[in-house]
Amino acid sequence: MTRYNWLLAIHMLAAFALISGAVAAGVFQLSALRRRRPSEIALLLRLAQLAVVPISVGSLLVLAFGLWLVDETGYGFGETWIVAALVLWVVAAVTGGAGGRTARHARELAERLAAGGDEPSDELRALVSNRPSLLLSYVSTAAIVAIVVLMVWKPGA
Amino acid sequence: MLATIRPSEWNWLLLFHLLFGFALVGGVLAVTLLSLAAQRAGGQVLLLRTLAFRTNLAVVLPAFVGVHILGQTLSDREFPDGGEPGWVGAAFGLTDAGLVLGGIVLTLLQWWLVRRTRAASAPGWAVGVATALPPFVLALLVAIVFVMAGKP
Repeated sequence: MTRYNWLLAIHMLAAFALISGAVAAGVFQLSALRRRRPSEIALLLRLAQLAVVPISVGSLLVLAFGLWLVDETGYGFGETWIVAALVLWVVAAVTGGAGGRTARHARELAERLAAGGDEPSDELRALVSNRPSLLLSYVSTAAIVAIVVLMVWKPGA
Repeated sequence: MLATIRPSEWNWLLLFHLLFGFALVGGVLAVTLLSLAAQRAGGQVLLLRTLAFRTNLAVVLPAFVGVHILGQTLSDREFPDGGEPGWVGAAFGLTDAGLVLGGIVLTLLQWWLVRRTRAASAPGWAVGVATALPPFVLALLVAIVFVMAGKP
């Protein structure tokens, strides 16, 4: 394998860690939306928290090895599709992080409620189905899909 | 920005091959975490096993089929005379193994296990297999991604 192949393989593995983690976190959060008992919601949001590990590691590695690949292949750092991908990476990271903050508050509340009787709560329901934070998560997902589109088409390259 | 994209049939196939691949690995990751958690969560086993089964059925199985069909179509176009390199054959072999184990065997096993868990009579061997299989399939998928991207 050439150095280019190694870099591409690690870049792709990192992309899979990032996006697969996001898919898994989405599965857990959407499942939590359908539950009412705090103990069940807490359990699902704890699993979503675990899925954040591959998201964090993957997002850093995909960026580092992506930049290395740009240098290795001779593309310019100022090319439109590369600049657009970097901007979208920042958008995905910021909106994903902001959306995840509400999920953390919901998990903490669910754990407190689960320890104290495990009765369904309107406050917890409102926090789990908080529209702005769900919207931020959707924006983050859309930004990641747009990056994949840019990587496939490489417009202007 | 997206208006500058030059659409082509080839790129659409590759894009959806990748998106199915992301959904597949993400679905298997979710099933892995759910199955491992079910081993440790005393009162929530039925919920976790049911979600693992539904995720396998709704995400993993369709994604396996999608990634396989689009991968075959891409391979047929790139290597029309059957002269595909070894890494393509290796990736298809691993995908077939993953489809049988992670898609078909695991889905059926989870369906049966959900029923037995509901009846409080889940046999230990089935619990062990349903817990060990998802991480194994996940490792298989990581190997496939490495082979597809690194083309050794």
